[in-house]
Amino acid sequence: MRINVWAIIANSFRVDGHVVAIFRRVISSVFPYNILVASELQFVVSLSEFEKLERALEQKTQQESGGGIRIIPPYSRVGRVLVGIYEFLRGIFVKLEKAENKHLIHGLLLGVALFISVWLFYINPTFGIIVFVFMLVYHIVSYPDSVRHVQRFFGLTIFGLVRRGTIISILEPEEIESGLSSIEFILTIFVWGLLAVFIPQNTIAIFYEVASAVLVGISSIAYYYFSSINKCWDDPTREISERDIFSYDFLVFFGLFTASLAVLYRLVPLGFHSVFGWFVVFMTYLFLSSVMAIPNFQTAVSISLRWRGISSTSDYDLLEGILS
Amino acid sequence: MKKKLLVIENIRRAWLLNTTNFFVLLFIFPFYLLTPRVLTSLYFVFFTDPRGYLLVVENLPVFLIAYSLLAVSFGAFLLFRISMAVQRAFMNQIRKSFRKRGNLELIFYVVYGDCIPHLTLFFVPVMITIVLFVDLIDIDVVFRIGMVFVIFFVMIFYFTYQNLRNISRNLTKIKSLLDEENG
Repeated sequence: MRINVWAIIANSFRVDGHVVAIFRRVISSVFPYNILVASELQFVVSLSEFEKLERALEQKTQQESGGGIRIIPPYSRVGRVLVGIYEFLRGIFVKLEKAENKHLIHGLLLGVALFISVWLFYINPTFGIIVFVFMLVYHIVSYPDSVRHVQRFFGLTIFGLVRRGTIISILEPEEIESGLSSIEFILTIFVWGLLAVFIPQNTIAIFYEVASAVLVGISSIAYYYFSSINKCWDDPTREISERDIFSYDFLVFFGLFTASLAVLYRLVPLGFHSVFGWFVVFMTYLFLSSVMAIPNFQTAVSISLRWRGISSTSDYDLLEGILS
Repeated sequence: MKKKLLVIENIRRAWLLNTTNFFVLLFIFPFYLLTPRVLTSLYFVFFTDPRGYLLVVENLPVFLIAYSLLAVSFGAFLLFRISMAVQRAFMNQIRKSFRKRGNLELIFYVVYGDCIPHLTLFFVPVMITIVLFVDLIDIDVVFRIGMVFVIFFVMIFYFTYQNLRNISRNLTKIKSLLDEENG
């Protein structure tokens, strides 16, 4: 049974066949590639027949299993696990695709490339150097900001250490964000160097391990300091207490700091343990001076904002007095 | 006047003590090198003649005293010059940051200057003494390093905990003072 649109229109508006014929010719001239096929323009089906069609369709639907509604069966246990893994990986990729995580991806990839090239150097030195140079050039070309990250990291940490004797600096939130991304970049490159214990030892591998341990130690201290003062800016009225040292962030970066010192200890030649002792003194002094600065910074932000609030209130009262 | 002097003194301590710590740790580095164990390890690198090595090891106390006299004379002069240069850089930075950030940096240094002397005057000398003492004990290297790690990390937690407690107590006091002043 064919449904005739023109019949529906004719019955709805109660026009006679003559008027609808004219209307049909007008529509056909306006739409040369007609939507409706010419042979279907018939005054055959009435509205009541449309209702009959609807009832027939309802009967057919009720005869179907499940009343025409197809129930999707639940996943099996294995299916649920696979779906869970898929959603988890999809979530990770969605996060990685964000622009704010670009430096992390490049840092991780460069770190893995560096680790592989050091390992390849043991097998064939020429091949290892070629792979290293290629990976380095490729990463710099694909991510030119990497040079700025390295420059910013050394400016904030090493040169800051020589100028001020500490990593501590008083920065605005935008400066902290850019500093944090540079520190994250360096940390993600050199954290793989802590796994260099599995690489057969040669000069390059030892140099890579020492450089990685020193840079991971310094960047873990710097990252903890910068992320903590960022939280101070986010919430200036935060109540500080001694329980803050047992936070997850502190324990993770304390763990990284300890791991870097442990890796260095492994490499200390026989008889040089007093030199390593000096290095431990130096690094723990850096760690403590940075950690002790965080609650002081929170206090400073809290008090300076309080003062600004008080002076703004007095300015506002003065203005109100003038205007009223 | 006394309060102003206290504020200035705290700011000065906060700035200078970190620089002093850093350069003092660099100056005492040779003391860690001039030990028989290190010299024995360096023997094959730097000493071609056994007589040269024996000359150095037998006269080690003389070398140590000579270096310490050099450190306290020339080193003190050098540290004084460094602190003058650092002081000028500090004043310029405070002026620039005051224009840019208001009084945030000043308040930070006042509060930080209150706690940094504890780190400098107590923690650093204790760490140095422990490392040198542990180096003298004739025990296995693993136990030696383990002892140093354990003592240091206990001290790290203790200092951090103490500092946070002092800060949270002082902050409550400072806030109540500010509230009293401003009604």
